[in-house]
Amino acid sequence: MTAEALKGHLDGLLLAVLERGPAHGYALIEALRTSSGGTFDLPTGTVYPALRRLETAGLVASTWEKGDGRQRRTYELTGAGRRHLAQQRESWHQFSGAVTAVMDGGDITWRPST
Amino acid sequence: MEAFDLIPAHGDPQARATIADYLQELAAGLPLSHRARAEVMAEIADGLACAFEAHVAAGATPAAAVRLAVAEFGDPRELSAALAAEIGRAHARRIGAGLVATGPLVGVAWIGAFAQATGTAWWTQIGALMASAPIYALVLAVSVPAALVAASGVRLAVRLGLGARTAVDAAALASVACVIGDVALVSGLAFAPSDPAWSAALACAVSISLVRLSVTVGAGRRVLLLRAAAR
Repeated sequence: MTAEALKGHLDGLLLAVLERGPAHGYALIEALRTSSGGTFDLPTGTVYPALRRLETAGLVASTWEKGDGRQRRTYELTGAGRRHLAQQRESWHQFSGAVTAVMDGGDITWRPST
Repeated sequence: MEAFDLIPAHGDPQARATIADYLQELAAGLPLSHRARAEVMAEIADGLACAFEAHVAAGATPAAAVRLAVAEFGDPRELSAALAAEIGRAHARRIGAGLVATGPLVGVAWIGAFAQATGTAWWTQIGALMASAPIYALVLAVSVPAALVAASGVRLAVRLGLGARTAVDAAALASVACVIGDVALVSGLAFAPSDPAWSAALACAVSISLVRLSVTVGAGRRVLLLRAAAR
């Protein structure tokens, strides 16, 4: 799946991955790949601007760690991020449920006029 | 432009050169201070190192692993443009918050100075302040709403899933308006009475305006460069 197809959902997906615990940028993109069974195979670079955006919005916070001769920036959810994720999750469930209902032609009471 | 070699743990010279070239191209597209750029480079270098290690662990040769890692990250120009856009938004928020916080301070300093110099109540000096720099009413009408949009627009835009470029434009507009306002206030002194009491009363207000002027020019210039780099 391309980055374009995921536009608008990437922020929520990153927050969902971070709900499991703090992680650095590359670990997040790997978790997205693994959790989606390889469907969300985005260019790794796309995660870094998204994390900046989430941090500016106050939804994640970052800290720097040193180890193995290099620096690592680790992100974690803030309280605002948890609340935003809960809202995103609820609206996604409503949206995906409605799309599935229409796509699968479920309980249709409407009939086209002839 | 500084050279980047942030992955000393890996000895393969070709791998290091390829990653250094990638970081060099990325850095070229980021008009940031030395410290801010170094921070971005350190994070991306760590990510590239992780990708390199993952490919080596999967059985790739160092040369193949570095090619795969760089390809995985995508075009460095696209990455730098996307990072510039997000960093620009963060700058816009800081500019907006800074102008919202310092605006009342500058206003109080000038009104207080006018009141002290003339020995009258401060509220009677608001008209005198506007008369000394007639353009200031227009500056306030533009800069106050623009600074508020810049200060709050980024968070709202992200949380509502909207584009946040408006905040960057608002920050640039607010910066330009504040620079014009401060220049108008300070240059208005050329027409002020020149007795020593008057000069002393205004020294504090002029100092505050000049400090804000220089900080705003620097921050506004940075946000405009980031806006251009974001394309």
